[in-house]
Amino acid sequence: MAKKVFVLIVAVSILRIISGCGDCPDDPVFFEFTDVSISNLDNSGTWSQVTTSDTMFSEAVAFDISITGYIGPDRYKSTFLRSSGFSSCYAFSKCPEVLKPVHPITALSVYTLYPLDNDIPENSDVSNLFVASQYYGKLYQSLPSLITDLKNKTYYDDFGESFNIYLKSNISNDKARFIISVRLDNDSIISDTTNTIYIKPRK
Amino acid sequence: MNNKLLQFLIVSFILFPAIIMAQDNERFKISFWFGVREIARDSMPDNNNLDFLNYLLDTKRRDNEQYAGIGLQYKPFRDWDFELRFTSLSDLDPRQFELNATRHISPYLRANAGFFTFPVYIEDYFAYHSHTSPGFIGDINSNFRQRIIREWGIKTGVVFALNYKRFNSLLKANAGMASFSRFDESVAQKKYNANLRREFRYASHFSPALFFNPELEAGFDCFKLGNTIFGAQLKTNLFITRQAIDYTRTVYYWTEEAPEVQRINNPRHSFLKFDADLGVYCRF
Repeated sequence: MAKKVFVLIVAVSILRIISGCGDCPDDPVFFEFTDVSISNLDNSGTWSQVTTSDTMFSEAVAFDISITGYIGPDRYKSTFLRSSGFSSCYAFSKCPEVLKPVHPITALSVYTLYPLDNDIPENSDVSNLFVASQYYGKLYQSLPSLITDLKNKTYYDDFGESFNIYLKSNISNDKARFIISVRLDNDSIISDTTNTIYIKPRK
Repeated sequence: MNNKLLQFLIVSFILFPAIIMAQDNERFKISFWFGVREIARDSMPDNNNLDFLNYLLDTKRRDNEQYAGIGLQYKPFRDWDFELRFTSLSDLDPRQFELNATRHISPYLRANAGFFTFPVYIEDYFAYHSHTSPGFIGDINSNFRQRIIREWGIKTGVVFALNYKRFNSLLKANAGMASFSRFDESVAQKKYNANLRREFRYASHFSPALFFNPELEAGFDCFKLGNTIFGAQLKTNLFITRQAIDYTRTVYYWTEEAPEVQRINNPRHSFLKFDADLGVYCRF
């Protein structure tokens, strides 16, 4: 009897291994975007890098935007079900976890709290004066193009979003400060405000 | 071993002192050669447009290029022969080849037609942007740039043949049309202490040019084994033209939207390639 049970367990396990082998599962785990945080960028050289300095050149105002998220208990339920037994087996590689936002980003807006120059007063929407980059590329992309990319984006293993934004125009004021707001597809808005940036003229 | 080979060659040379002429029943010729190449072209001052030919690697900027080659000639009919030549530069990649068809009009006169390609190097061409873009990082890609471009051409001409005892020679006067192959390049720049980025993308065009291409081949039949004649040869080849590399330049500012597109026609440069090589052949 014990032998039959053992054979049955082994047979079922082998079948589970065979049926578990294949492509990585593509059913996503959903998460929520919850917070925006802003860091200053030093973009005076070839590539921008995060800096703690609040001083920027008048033509090199740039920020790193990080949008962090939250995963509910669903994730753990799903992970438990998918990883139990031999339901997944892959040759020497771990499948990435597929993550999708419940409410994708649908808009990004930037308001200035100080006048940029004589034509752009305080509290103006200056979103169209910014461009963005998600990677170290040769060129930037416009904010609408960035939003298009983010709307349908699938995340793997890490559900945080991060990109840089760069001001195209020259600031003639000696200070600058911006509110950056991210709109999600349920019309909720998450936002953060930059530090006060002290502007120095370009050399 | 080497002495035995030398004795064999000397004996062969003595045993076959007869006049060896090209026989009508000879159908194949295989030849190998090793030679040196000189490239010369004129430089023009920088203007508003990048001129890639200013960065073509010539023998002022490097030593003579060495090459090795193999040629296969086939004579299927009494009055026709076809020749295929492959040549490798120092990278041992047979990038250069040539196919010729020759019609034998008389013992001294032949007509020749064919096509060919050979490589040239251009390098460090974005140095142009470094010294013509003040206030910008000239090229944010710090890697050294070098690329191979090919000259493609078709040619036709007359061939004067002279055979005297063991000596045989060909003087070819070819002319035709050639162009460098198309290529794409891009360079990205960033303004110092500012956010502005821009990118230049170049897409070259075919820019055909007439050329003159005289060649001299001289061979000496050294000895004969059975129906196979072994000999030594000297070849020279001069290629003269005036060429330009024209292109479409697309400039992007900030993003890939709304670029400036301009077609650029560059001035023609005189361009000269001279090959000289020594080799051996066998005919059978």
